[in-house]
Order: sequence, then C-alpha cells, then structure tokens
Amino acid sequence: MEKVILVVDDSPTTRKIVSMIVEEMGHRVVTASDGFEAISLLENTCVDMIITNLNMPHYNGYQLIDAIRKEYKDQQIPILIMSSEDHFDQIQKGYRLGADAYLIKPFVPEVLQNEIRKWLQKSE
Amino acid sequence: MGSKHHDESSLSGYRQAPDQDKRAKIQELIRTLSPDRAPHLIQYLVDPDENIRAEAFYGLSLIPSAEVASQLIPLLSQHDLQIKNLVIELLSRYGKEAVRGLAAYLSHPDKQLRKLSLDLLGKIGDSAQWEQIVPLLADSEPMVAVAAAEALGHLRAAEAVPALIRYFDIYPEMPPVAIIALGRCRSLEAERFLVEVIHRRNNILTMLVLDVLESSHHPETAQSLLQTLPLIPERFHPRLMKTVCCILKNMKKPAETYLDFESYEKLVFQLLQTDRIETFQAVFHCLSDSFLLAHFPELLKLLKKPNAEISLILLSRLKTINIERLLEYIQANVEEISVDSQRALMHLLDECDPACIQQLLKILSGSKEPTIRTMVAQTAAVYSDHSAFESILLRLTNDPEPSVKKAAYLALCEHPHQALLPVFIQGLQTLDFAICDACIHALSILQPDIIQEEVQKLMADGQVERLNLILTILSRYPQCAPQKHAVDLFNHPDATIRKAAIYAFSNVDDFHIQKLIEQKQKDSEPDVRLHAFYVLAQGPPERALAAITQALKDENYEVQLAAIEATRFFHFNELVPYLYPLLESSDRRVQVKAVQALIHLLGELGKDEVERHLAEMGEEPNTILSIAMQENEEDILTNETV
Repeated sequence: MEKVILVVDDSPTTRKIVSMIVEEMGHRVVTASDGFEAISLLENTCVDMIITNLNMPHYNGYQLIDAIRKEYKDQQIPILIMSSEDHFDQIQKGYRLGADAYLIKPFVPEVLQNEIRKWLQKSE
Repeated sequence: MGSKHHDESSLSGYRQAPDQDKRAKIQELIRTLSPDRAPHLIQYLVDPDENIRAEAFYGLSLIPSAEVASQLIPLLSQHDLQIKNLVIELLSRYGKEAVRGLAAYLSHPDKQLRKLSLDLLGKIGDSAQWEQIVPLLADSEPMVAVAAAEALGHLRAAEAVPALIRYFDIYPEMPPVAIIALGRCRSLEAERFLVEVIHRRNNILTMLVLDVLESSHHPETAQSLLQTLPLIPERFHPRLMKTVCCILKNMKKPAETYLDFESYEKLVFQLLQTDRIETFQAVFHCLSDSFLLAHFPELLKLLKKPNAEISLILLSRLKTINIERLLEYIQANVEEISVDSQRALMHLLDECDPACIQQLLKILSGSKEPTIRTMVAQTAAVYSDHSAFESILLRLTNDPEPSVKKAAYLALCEHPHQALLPVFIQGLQTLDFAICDACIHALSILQPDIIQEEVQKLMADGQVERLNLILTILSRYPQCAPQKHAVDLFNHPDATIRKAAIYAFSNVDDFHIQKLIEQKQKDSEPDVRLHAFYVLAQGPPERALAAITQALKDENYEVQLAAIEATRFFHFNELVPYLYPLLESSDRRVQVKAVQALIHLLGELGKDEVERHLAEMGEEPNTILSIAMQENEEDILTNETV
C-alpha cells in the first residue's frame, strides 16, 4: 500500500536522491527544505514517516523532532534521522528527542530502503 | 578557539536573564566595528546566550574579509548545530572572501571540516576551484568524497567530468550523488556515461539518471536513451519517454526530426494518461500536428479524464487542428466528457467565432452538470440578442435546476422583446425572487399592463404566496403598480397581501392610493397597521405627523413603540399630549420609551413635568426615569460607536 513519506533536507541533491529511493519502493514523497516548512506541511498533510536531516538553517532537525513529538504525541510517526553529524552526543540527542533511527550520510540507497521498510512495518 | 558543546536546555537560563554587561560590550564592539574586532566578536558567537550570539553574528556579517573568514572556519567543527549554522551562514554571506580560506581546509585532518568546506565551496565558489576539489573524490572518507562530487556538481564543472566518471564507483554511496553532479555538468561526455549507467539495471540509479537528463539539450542523449528501453523494467518506460520528450522540448526544434513518435505510440498514450501536468506538457508539446490528427479519436478520449489544466492544453491545440471533428465528438459524447473538460471548453469560447460558440453552447446546454449549464446561460447572455443563442436560453428556462433556470431568465431579460412576452409571464409563475424581479423589469419595459392582468389572475386564483412576492417586487416598479385592483388588494382577506399592497403602492404618487394607505393604519391586523405607519412616516412631514399621531393612539404596543421611536426624528411638539397617556401604559417598554421621547421633545426642563406625571400615576418616578436615562445613554454610546 502506498505510504506518504516526508523528506526534510536543505540539500536539493539529498531530497532528490531520497525521493527516488522512496518512489522506487512505490511510496509517495513530500519534501521540505527546512524544519519550518516541514511543520507547516504537516499541518495539512498526513504522513506515515519522516526522514530528516539535522543540520539545516533556521530550524534544525532536533528542533523539528522535538516539535513533532510534542505536537503529534498521539501519533507515533516513525522519524528517521539522516545526517553527516556522526558524534556520539549528537546521535544520542537525536534518540533522546524521539527519533527512531539514525543514518549517517552518505548512505547506500538499499540501506535507507531497508530502514524505511522496517519502520513502516513496525508502525502498521 | 576550542569547540564547546552547549546543551539546548542550558541555554534557556541565559535567555531568561540576558547578560546586560555582555550586551553592552558587544554593542560597543559593533559601534566601533573593524576587522581587528573580529576575535572578540567570534568569542561571543559561541556564547551560550542566543541573543549575544545573534548580536555577534550581526557584527561579524558587517566585516566580510578573508582574514575574518579564516578565523571563522575552525568553528565549523562545533557540535552545537545552532552555532555551526551561524558560521555556515556567515561564510556563505562572505562569498568570495571565504573561498581561499575554505580551500585551505580541504586537506584538514578533521573529515567534518573537509566536508563542510566542500559544501560551502560548492555554494560560493566558482568552477575554477574544480582542480582543488577533484583530489577529494578519492578521499579516504566516503563522506568527504561524496561531498566533493556534490560540490563539483554545484559548480557545474565540466572539466571535472572525467574525474567524476573515474571515481563513480569508489564507494557504494557515491553513484547517486555523482549522477546528479554529472547531470548538472551537462556535457555530452557526462550524458553518454549516464546513459551507460542505465545498463547496470539498478532501478534507483536509472530513475535518477532519467530525472537528471530531463534538462539535457542533446538529441544524441535522447536517441541513446530510447535504445535502452528494452533494458529497463516496463514500469519505467513512460518515465524514459518523458525524459526523451523533455530533451526534445529543450532543443526547441521540431521533435519529429529526431524521433518517430508513431513507433512509440503506446508509450506516448500511456504518458498522456498522466495526471501530472508537467509530464503531459513535455510529451504533448513534442507531438506534431500530423500525429495528433492521425490519433484524433484517442486524443479526444482523454477529455473524459478529470483534469482541468490538461483538458485546457489538449482542447486549445485540438481546436486549431480540426474544430469540426472536435465539435462532432463533443456533441456525441457530451455525457462522457469530464466536467473539467466541459469547463475547459467554456474557457476556450473567447477564442472561437460566434457560430462555433453557438454550437458549443448548444451542446453543453445538454451537460449533466448544472454548473456547466449555468455557465452556458451566463455566456449566452452576452449574445442573447442573437436568435440562435436565445433558443438555447429558452430551453434552459425550463431547466429542473433552479440556478440554471435563474441564469437563463436573467440572460433573456437583458434584451427583452415582444416575442419573449410569454416567457416573462411564465417567469412570474415561479416563486423565485430574482426571476420574478427580472421578468417584471422586462415587462415594465415591454407591456406594464400585463402585470395588472397577472395580479388580477392571481387574486382570482387565490395564490397568496405568488401574489405576495409580485407585490413586494412591485414597490420598485411604481409604474407597474396594479392601480385598478388597489381597493381589492388593500381589502384582501389575507393580511400578508394587504401588507404587501402597502409596499407595492408606497411609491405611487396618487392621492387616492395614499388615502388607502392611511386607512390601513386602522386595519384590524396590527402588523398591517405597523407597516402602513412605516410607509407613511417616511412621507412628507405633515403626513408623517398625522401617521405618528394615529400610531401613538394605536392599541398595539408594537405600533406604539414604532411611533414613539419615530418621534426622535421629528421635533413635533404637537405630539407631547399623545405621549403623556403612554406613561400609564401597562407595557414597561412603552413607558420607558415614552419618558425618553418626552424628555427628548421637552428638553431637561420637561424632566420635572414627567416626574410629576409619573408621581400622579402612583409610579415610582425615579425607577422609570433612571431606566430611561440609562437606556438613552446606551443608545447614544451605541450610535457614537457606530
């Protein structure tokens, strides 16, 4: 069944790659280039999963995850972080705020597909 | 400067109590700004207080220089994302000033610094940097190598294409980013390689290649892509075809020169079925008129799809190719054509000649969709002086949908003529205010007597509701007022008709009619008396005075209240004697309003007089007076607010 996945990243290259990876799986993608855009998109769109970068201008990934977990606490939307930040503290902080998975960029497309599959299955 | 990691929660304390001393210092630094102040400002850029950081950011943004940039770059290794972002933003703003400093960090031992330097160079550098970046494609850290590929793509460095191809498979993470980078370089060499990537039969890479090649301008690329069709899964065929069409469109030359679309007919129609406007446009744009003409019936079937934008594009072109066949098809299939397509047809009417418009409107007047039939009536209104359009409208006056019927009547009333008299009379049979109003308007121009006859018929038939509606509308057409039946109407057994008659004749300047209205102030029905009073009170002052006097004597409280209210607008001292008896009213509202009216007419001096009267009546004067004064003040306040 087609799912809707929100991809949040300030890099158009990453947005394009992740979109293709998701579309190849038969799901639909909506994209946002920062946390603010993601929040306003979530107000009008139901999504099944969120894949977000951390280091973005204006409103970073941590702030976005924190806001989503507070605003949509009744919906356990899986949140996957994809970031080139690979310091232990940063990874820990992502999980502490409510992320379900942390993928260090760059990644092999198949690895991301496996994560998406896993978390979509869990949320069903 | 050492890197500091600040937890977000620890910042909140500073936000609540900003360090005023620090703020003063930083503001002083900004006031006396020069590049040598940079080290101090940079110190504040990593301050735990968000406000202090913002001020430091502002100060540093004003002194862009290579020297300051070099001092900022080490801060890219900060773990605090907010601080890191401030540095990235500052370096981006510095632009060319930061390039040399960033290039120096490409060989830094910290992989994060190398990676971020590449990201920034991709943004603010130019293609001259490609030589410095290329070696990093072979970096020992995949993160850095991939960032190098991305940066080269951003710089559109065509010279780096061979290196991008050479290191395409250096890490498994590299190909997706390298594809996008090669696509941005737009060289034929890069595109040839990208087409080769399709041979790897990796779906994700194929999709990426097809996506990036959409911006290509090389016909060779389009032709090589077509040759890969057998290699890719069938579900990607439309996507590949779309890419081919995009390339042909980018070349701005006749697409059929490069591609025989007949050989790919199935794929073309698969793509034309899309709901995505950009895909449709890309393909449709490439198709020649001869192809479209050869496949006219299949193309017309697309009009059944509900997509307004696509319908509009399709129809605009098909209309120019063969309008007769288009009309023929629409006529035969109007019920199957989507509402969006029907609407698109309506939008295209402006570009058609009257004969075509008439034919289209005739066809669309048979649409199942009421909004389309309404649009037909509204459009036909513009041409309703043409008999051909009139016949369409006449048919729509019998439409079961009220909004369509209304639009048709309104259209016909724009150009009334004698032959339409039966239609306008028929319009009076409806119980729709707008239709009746339009028909009365038309009849008032053509033959006002008919309205008199119609009123007589309605009276004879005892059709109270319709009679009431027509009389109400007639107040705006005094020339059509049914004077012959005035007496009968004013004495009609139904009070609503007597009331409506008052309004129907209210603007008729005739002595006998005015007398009849005055008599209605003595009607048995209070509501009729009240409305007669309203009409008369709006007349000349002497008539208004008589009407108020009569209404003040009325036994009904509502009539009395309306009359008392009216005294506010006149200074008729003659009314004072008629107001005193109302102080004894058993209705509190009447009492209070009478007190207010008396004070209004007599002024402050009259207050004692009113008080005396109330006391004589055994009333507690202060109570009523205070209520009256309070209400009065509230009224004044309300009026002032308004």
